[in-house]
Amino acid sequence: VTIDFASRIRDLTREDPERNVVLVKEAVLESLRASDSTVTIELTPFFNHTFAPDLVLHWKNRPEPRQVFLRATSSAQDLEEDLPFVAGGSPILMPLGEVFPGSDHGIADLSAASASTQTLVADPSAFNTLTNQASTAPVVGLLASSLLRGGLGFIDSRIARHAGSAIEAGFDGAAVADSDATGKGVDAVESILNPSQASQLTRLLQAVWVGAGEPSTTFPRPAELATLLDASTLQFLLDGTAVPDDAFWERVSSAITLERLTELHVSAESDGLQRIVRLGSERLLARALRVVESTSDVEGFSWYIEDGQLLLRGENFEVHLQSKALRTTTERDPTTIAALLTRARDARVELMEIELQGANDRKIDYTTLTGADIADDDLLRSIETALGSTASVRSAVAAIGASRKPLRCNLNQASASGNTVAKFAVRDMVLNAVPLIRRLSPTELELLRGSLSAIVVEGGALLPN
Amino acid sequence: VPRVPGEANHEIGRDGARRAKRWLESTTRVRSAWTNEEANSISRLEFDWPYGGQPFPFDVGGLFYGGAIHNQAFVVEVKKYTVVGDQRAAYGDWLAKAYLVRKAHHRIADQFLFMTWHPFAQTSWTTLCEPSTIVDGILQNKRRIFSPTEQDSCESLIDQAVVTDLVDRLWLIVLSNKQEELVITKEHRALIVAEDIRNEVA
Repeated sequence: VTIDFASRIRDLTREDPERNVVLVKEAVLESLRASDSTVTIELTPFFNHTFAPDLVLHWKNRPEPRQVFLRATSSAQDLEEDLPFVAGGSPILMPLGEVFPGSDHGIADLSAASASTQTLVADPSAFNTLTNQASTAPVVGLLASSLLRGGLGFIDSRIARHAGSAIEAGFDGAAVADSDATGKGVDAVESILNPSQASQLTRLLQAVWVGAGEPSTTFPRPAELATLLDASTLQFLLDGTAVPDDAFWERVSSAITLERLTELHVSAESDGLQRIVRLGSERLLARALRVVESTSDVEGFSWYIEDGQLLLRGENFEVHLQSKALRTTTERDPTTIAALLTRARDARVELMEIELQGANDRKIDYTTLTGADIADDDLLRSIETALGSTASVRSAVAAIGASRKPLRCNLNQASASGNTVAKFAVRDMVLNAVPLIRRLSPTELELLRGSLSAIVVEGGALLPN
Repeated sequence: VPRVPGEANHEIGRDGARRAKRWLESTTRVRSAWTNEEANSISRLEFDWPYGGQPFPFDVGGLFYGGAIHNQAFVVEVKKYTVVGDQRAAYGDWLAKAYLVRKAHHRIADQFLFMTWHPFAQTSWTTLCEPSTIVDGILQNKRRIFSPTEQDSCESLIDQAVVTDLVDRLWLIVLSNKQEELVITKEHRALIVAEDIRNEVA
């Protein structure tokens, strides 16, 4: 969306200044909202006022609003003169047209003066340029929202286009350890953003760099950066403008751990979170899982972060995944051997051990010595008959992956974990433990599998691939 | 450093308009304002004389905020002078312009401000906003306001209702450099602005 404010203003009904002001402000609002879907914009009663802002930008996770001062003038000299009057609180000074230099006031002067007062001087076309670039390069969308939150200095559409291309090339470059492109991306970001916004995008590039298998020490702009995406950068990504691009999230996902992820406060139904978990389900590692019976009106399954754990919520139950060991909980109804074997067969889970419990506190451990699957053993049915109707399964051990790593599912407590500190990929844990712990309908099993694979977007709705 | 007198005058005019705008905004009684030089003026500041001559611009336009003049449109003639100069004649022209705007485009401006940095016409100062002074200003410009055939009878052709109505719409303001500094502090103004925004949004 490109809005030519000069022509829009010329087209206005010139007899009604108040109406004209509203039309101009609404056009600006439209263009800023396209840069950052998470911003809330307040229109003030003022226009082109030296001291009072035209718009005030608010973000949920940021206490300080950012003021926008629209300017009818596009003269570099006028804008520079206004800086001392608007400075404070890192405002945005927004001329409505392309800035032109005066006889002895160049753009460079304006640029230096605005950067030194933590002010961003940018016309709407700078934002429109980034928004347009973002349609083909999602990472540029993050630059647009970063600019709105913490941009400084003078930025017109030409500078914006250059910075957008540099971050795009830097993001792609980091994935293949191209240190020249990555370094230029970092430089571009640092030249137009305040240090805290710049460091979030730099950390993102660094995370992609590390995700590509490179050591963080060879990152082209070594700084005191963390080796992995830190919580604030992740938070920024998850709260920010939706980036409907799986390749992007796959890179992000490759640079984080479940511990990092569960430190965050993520709003319900975060599109970014769905993608990070689905795309990273074979890489994100959890230590423990629990199934909790709970009804909700969600369709299919969605990922959440709540109370420091990753949570998969469906219509009839929730799966809680943790990076720490579980506390024990209340006992559940017993599961018969026949039921367990049916569940294992339906979900294609391989069993290595079953712990059976009979009457009078007696138990039997039925185990394979070779690691072979025991789910089809006829002997198990004979044992069940022998034990009688009081027999139930206390726990079952599933074999995970080629190494047949044991995942013990405690059916009485609806939980699962491995030996001592063993960790499992989220995908393996969910698809092996949940079907053993709880009876799933064929539809539920299908939806559960869907919650662990990439997303296709149709008409704005998230659907399992 | 200005190289030619015209350029110097232009810079003085530009500076004066911006300072007048800023001082008016400092009063907290202005909702929006724009100068004639700004590329994206939101409303017109330039008008034509009915009978020839260059079109005449006002230097600043805007909307008032609060009180009885809330949302009323104003236009400003700015004289950033360090001497008396031609101000008395220019003042008469300005009265004629105000009369024309009220008569032909009354929605464009409700209030007319004449802001100068140097006093003028001290001996007739108290009468500068009287109906007779307005009529004098109109007659001073009669060739640009009335047709050639109307020249002998133009005094009777003046719309007296417009003249009477105009008296209360004239604001003659003398500023000084020091006075520009003696305004509400930045901190206090921020409180008022925040309150205005809160009230408007709520």
